[in-house]
Amino acid sequence: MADNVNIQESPPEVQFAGVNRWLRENLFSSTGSAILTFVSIGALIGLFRSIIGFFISPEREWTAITYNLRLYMVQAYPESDFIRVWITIGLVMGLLGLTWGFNSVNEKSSLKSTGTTLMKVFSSLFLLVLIAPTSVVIDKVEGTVVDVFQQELRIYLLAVLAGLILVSYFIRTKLASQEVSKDYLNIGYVGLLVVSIWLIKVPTVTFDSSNVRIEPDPLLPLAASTKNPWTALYLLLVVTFFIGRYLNSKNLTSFKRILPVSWLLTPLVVVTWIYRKPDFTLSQITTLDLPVILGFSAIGYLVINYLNSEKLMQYQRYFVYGSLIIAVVVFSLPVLRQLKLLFFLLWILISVAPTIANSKESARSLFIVWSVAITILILLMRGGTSETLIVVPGSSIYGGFALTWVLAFFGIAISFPFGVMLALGRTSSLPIIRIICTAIIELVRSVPFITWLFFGSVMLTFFLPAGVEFDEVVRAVVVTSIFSAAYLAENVRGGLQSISKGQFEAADAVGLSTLQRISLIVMPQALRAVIPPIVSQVISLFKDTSLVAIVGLFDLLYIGSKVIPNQSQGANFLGTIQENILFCAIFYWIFTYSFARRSMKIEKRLGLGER
Amino acid sequence: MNKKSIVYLLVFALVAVACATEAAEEEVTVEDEHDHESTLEQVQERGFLKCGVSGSAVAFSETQADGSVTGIDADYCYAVAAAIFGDYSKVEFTALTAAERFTALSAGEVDLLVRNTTWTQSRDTELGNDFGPTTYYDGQQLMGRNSDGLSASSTLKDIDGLRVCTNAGTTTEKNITEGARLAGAAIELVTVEAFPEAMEKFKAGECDLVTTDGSGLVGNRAKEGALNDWAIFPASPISKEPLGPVYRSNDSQWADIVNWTVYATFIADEYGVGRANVDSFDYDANPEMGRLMGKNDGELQTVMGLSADAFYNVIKQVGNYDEIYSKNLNPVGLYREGSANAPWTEGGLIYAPPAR
Repeated sequence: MADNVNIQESPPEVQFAGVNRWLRENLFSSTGSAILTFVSIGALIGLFRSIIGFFISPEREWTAITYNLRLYMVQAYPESDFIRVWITIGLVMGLLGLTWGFNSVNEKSSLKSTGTTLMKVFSSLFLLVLIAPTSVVIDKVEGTVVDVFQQELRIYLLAVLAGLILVSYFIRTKLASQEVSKDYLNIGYVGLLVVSIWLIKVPTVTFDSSNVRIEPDPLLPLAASTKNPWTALYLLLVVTFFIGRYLNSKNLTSFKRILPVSWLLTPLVVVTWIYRKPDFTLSQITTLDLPVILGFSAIGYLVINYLNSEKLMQYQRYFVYGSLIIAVVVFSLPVLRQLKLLFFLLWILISVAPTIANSKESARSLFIVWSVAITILILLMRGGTSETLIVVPGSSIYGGFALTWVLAFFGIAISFPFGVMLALGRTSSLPIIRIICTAIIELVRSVPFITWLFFGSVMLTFFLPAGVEFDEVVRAVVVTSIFSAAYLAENVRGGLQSISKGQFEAADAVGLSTLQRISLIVMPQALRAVIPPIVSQVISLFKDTSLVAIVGLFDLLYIGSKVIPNQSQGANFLGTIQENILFCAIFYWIFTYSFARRSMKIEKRLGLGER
Repeated sequence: MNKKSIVYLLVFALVAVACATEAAEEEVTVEDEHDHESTLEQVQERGFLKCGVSGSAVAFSETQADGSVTGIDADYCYAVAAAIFGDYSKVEFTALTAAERFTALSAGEVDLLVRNTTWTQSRDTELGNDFGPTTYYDGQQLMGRNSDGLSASSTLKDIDGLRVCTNAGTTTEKNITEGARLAGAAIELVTVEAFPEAMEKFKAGECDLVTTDGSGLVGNRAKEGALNDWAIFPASPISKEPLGPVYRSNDSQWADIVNWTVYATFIADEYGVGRANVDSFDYDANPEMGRLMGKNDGELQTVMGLSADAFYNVIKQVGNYDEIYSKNLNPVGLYREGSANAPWTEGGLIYAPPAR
């Protein structure tokens, strides 16, 4: 570009008029405000002192969390199969790196703002160390006081922090004109986290050969047993980030379509194959799955290429009805679940193929999509329907954060399309569809979530025919997603109502079909308008997953609030409820806050709220 | 492509699918009707025992850091599995809340319920359950500070004018209200949502007494290291809480298996046979132990549908009552001596019918 002047619109910088004046104007403008300032500073110091005192009190057993991290993450998943957990995290990390790199816009950030951020962080830490209490009261009745914070340690920490503040001040002033890529900065921040798990040492519960706890707890790195995998995962993230950026520079548009599909497919592969460790033999795949895949690919090929020939076109209706009847008949027969599903898919293919596959190219791509889709589907079903080889003492291989994750992801992934369909159905002009959708929404919303969970867990057994059993987690996922879909439907309906009638009429005027009108005109606008309530719904679903504890599944919060505070064997963690609840709260906060930040970015990109 | 190839393709597709269907025949299992099968047959066919526990009850069924389940309740699940399969690990634990435990049992989601469940008349008669032998005799007690003049020999008369913390809306609350009224003591009741809160209030001095089952009080006292500062009383609890295994009614074979597994641990304790000496014990000198361990012919076990050495496996793999009790309950400060859980020969209630 010739006129590369880089005119960046930035607001004029507010001149800082000196500390004295700022203080006088904002804190000490009158006698009353001066008193108020002193009182609130005193109250804040007192509050923070007691919070810090709570954290560093010898009464707190933070080892209850570090010792039970495994329980928190995967509950009873056997150690010999941990590689599967790491592969799962690795897949997510790799995808994350690819997506991050591929969508990177190479934003630059001046070192001045970085320096300011660092200065803020270190100054706050400096203040906290300065006001931290020297001793805390551990027995309120007796009034026993214990020293928790030695003066030497305080001075040492203050000196270190003061040095760091000086360094950040130097960055802020001397290197202010330097510019760095925001991506590299973020990689650096994550790298700091990884370095810290190698360097920071914390008291760790260990047992000697005769199973007696070693006192006092020896100091070991933060992630003593998992620091190697985490480092490898970090390297994977960095490598995939650069791969993603390379692919972006090559302008691979097809990759743009693959990424979202992989994000949807990865969790399915994880739950059916990786985490589950299915018990299957190679002969099952060669004698069962391969013929089915080949056979249905062949049938699909015939349908796609010959159904829209002139001779057969007139019988199209009969083919559709015929295949539906076959699908229903097959469904009621005691055959493989794969076949039941495939005949239904075939019915859908027969219904849509003549309209989609109207040219040679589109016929070819439809055939490829069909073959790949059924191959993936059959293989996923093979994994998902086989017995699992993972042996756990409980009835479910999912527990802790793994369970929370599965419930949240599949709850969101299933409830979103389902909710949109319910919303469309409720606004439909066809009375039967409208009544059914309204009934589902109102019925689901009018009963508490816990009641539905109970229904799914305990009462469903009485309604289902004998011998039909669903996994407890599957039941919980179904209940969660239906419940969430009902609320989502109402959010989306709000968005639908915000679209003016003119949009519908305009779509009709240019001759769009109903499907095109909804997918091209209505939905993009309606969903855009309701991003904030949808994100709220996602966050509340994520937190609601903790309610599955009521049906005997051990999710993150249940482990923190009930399981660990009741451990008396081995290391005794009886009554460590405050520490564990706090840990869970922080854990949930990290995830919900990330959702919120992410959605804020999306809103910004779409320019919401600026019209 | 001509018509011929279309026909070939179609035939190929049909043959392929037919082949798959043929091969799939053994995969598609038509579910048998389980209705007329006994619980033992179901369990043996399945290959493992489904046991309902709490999963988060101190010393009764705890979940450890590696996900394993321990505790006296869990050990009796292991014992029944050892009796049936000769392998204690063939148990699948289902964590049940207090609200859903009986529904889960009657719906067949668990074969056995060992979830610190108190044996009461209504639960035994109205809910379609039967109770096995009591494995732990619990009872509601109170805990107060020695500095308030309370000791292990205090009675309900001594709590006059004190504040009592307990969880709201439970039998615990009802028992203490009734007990205090009968003893003529005026108490101030402070109710909270759950027991840990009551404990926090007690520690903060917001109440003078806490009350719940004795096992819970002892555990909390041990945790706080306040053995010499806090007293638990009265010596004979103000309520009876016998805890034991629960199974579905009308399956006497299953009931026998569970009951005699428990009794076998009692009898082995009586004779001093434990995990360490179960192999070296002189069975010829003690014919009752010999019969129980299947050292003679083991006919008593085989008529129950078990193998002759079923109870030998229980003692070898899980242990006798004393071992199970000590392993799980001693760490939280509960000892058998002088309690209802002492053997009948030492004035306790742990008593088993003779094996002959």
